[in-house]
Amino acid sequence: MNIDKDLVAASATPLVLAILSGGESYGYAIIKRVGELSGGELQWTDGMLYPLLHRVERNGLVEAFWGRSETGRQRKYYRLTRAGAEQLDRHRRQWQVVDKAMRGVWRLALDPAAQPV
Amino acid sequence: MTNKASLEERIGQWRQYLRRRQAVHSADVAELEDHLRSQIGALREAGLDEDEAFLVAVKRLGDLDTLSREFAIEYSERLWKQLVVPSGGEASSPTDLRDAALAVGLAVAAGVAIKIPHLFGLDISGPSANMSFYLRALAFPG
Repeated sequence: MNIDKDLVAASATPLVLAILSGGESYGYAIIKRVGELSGGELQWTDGMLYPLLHRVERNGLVEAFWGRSETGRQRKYYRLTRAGAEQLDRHRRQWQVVDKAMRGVWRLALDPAAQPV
Repeated sequence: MTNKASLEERIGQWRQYLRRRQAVHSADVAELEDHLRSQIGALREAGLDEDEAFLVAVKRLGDLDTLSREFAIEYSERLWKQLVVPSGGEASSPTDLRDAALAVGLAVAAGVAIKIPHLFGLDISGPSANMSFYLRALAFPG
């Protein structure tokens, strides 16, 4: 399914922050998780992974540190900061407002005779 | 005809390409290289050989990163040009056809999102990437 670019972009930061709230991670694992969560439907393009991670690092929402992969390779990890956790909470509440509004009207799209909640 | 460069040599080519362009910090290249190697590892686990895993991994990283996309396009173009189509009408070896299919597939993939296989209901993005789609789609002139 082709997902609107604006929708993919809008959900990218909350997804990254939320995934990191589950524990520190690194780029490849994060995008793999996004694929699992979306059944492969969310296709990230340039700007949505590493530029995003570097931006939220600059903004203090995550902090980065270098570690090692299983094979001993240098790997850059990211962990959520306190500020990041607070920002994530703001994202969650905003999405809940939108989600609630949409749930009230999807049924209209499916059944024009239905009344809005 | 296959490019006999080892996987390490190819990753080295990719790394050199990125380092030379613009002002890419070595830390960023190291991060992208870890991503590339992780992707290669996953594809190899899914059954692709080194050649295939490198090509697909480079393509996928190209979707995420602009410089890597430039590399992916150039790499697949180079692969394509390396193919010698015999003028005597002899059949290409299966390896030639497979590499040509991969190169064509990558050139297409690097430019736009692949939608054609999806129309045929084939999965080309998952670990079980169906490479044979490209073999079937590729037709060499006689």
